[in-house]
Amino acid sequence: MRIPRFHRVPGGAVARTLALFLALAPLATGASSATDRAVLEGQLAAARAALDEAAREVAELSRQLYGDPGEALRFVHGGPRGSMLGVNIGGPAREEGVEVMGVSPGGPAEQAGIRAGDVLVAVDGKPLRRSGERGASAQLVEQMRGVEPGRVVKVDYLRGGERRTASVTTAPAEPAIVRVIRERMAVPPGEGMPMPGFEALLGPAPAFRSLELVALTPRLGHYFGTDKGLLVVRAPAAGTLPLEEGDVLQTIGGRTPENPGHAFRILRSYQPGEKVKLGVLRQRKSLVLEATIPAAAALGGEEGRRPPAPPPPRAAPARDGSA
Amino acid sequence: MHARLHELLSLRDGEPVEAAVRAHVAGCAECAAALAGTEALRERLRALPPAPPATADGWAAVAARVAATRDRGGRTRRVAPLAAAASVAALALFAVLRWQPAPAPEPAASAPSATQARSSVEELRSRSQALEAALSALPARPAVVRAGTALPIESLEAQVQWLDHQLLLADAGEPAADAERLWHDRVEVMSSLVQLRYVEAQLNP
Repeated sequence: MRIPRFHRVPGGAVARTLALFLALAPLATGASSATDRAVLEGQLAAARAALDEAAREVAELSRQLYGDPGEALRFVHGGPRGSMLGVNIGGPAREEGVEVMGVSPGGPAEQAGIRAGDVLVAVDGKPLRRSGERGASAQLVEQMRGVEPGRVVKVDYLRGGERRTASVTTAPAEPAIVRVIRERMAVPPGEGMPMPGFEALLGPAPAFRSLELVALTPRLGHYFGTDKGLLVVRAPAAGTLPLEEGDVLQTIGGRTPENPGHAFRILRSYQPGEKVKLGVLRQRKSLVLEATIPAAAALGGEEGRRPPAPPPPRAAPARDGSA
Repeated sequence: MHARLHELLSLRDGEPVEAAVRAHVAGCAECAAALAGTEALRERLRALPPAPPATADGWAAVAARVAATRDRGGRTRRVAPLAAAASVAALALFAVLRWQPAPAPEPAASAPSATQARSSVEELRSRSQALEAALSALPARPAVVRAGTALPIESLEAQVQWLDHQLLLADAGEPAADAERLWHDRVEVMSSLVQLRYVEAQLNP
């Protein structure tokens, strides 16, 4: 298995997103008594615009980390990938076990309750132990290579000298961009729509970025007459997706989103101009809404509420965030 | 050797900790002060008001609620602890984030000494752990999720997961990128993640 090349990452993402804190200082510390509602609303709008700008920087960071499409595609079409637990390991070499220095945020180990300081000593009952020149971490790599992504493994670990066991739902051992590509590959072939390039998959910010969803709780589900779906708390601006506040989004292109993040990833995998069917419950009636994915709007304001950005000058490349 | 951050957090939370570590913290003024600091931060974060129920007007509800507070003549008891906790969290995060990463190492004509490389990796590890602590001090993700915020956060999380896997491969002697560069990238991505999560928490009181 080849490893994607890592590219130099300048400090840009950090330096620029620090501006978020400055933009949000009045919100973070409480606005002055002279701040009126209009100013506050302006601050909220500015904060959302700053988040959108940060999203663009994150996309840029992704491009730098995984800037070689060929390498990522080799992962997509390669052989068995194996799984990962989502742990950051290190510390002094041990005869038995692998010390967790940290858990990957949002990763399998974190969700299973494993945390920094724990020492992983066995996976599915097989001990992680130094054997000759091969350290315990090599044993862990070897064992996880044979685990199908998504399978639950039993991880034995020591915490403060006490032995514990966690059930960890593994994740595929592959770069972030490959996950994006896989979502895209699950989309039924469109009418003449080729596989988009990395630029399209990673940025700019999607046109539906102001869409807000929440998973149904039992009480919300009772009110809306269903126990499946995601409630649209805030609809995206007019002209993007035909969703309304109060809709319960149940399917996207025939796929059932498991949570809001999954719904956004599915929607993100469609490209401007592509058609998608949205299965929704509106006022307790099931509807199938036909939508055409709109082009990404300019950053800096809520999409659809501002005039489109002027065309860029011929001599300069287009730049988001000019509004 | 002083107690490490995860050991202090375990002591704070009443989790099992090696007896030697517990004894050291009991007798070390520096570690005891660090432990007290983590307790104080937790108490302040606990003062955060409970998450409001999901409403149908999203951002407008947040704006209206805060504006209504102003109209009543300043901060109410509901807003005050939030603002105070936010300020504390902001200061803690600034302390972590003010460090600017040095440029990632490029293949050099003359390789740096092993001592230099080890020192750099140790510093990056330390930064990385501080960022994880900052992340764990933030409130849980909000129930109502905005697409424009959730997508970059998930992207950054997936990147950290992959970087951690690369570091595991490097430790195991498998083909992988240079460890120093991986640590550098981890700090870079974690910094962006902490900032985004912080802003998300601010906008979802």
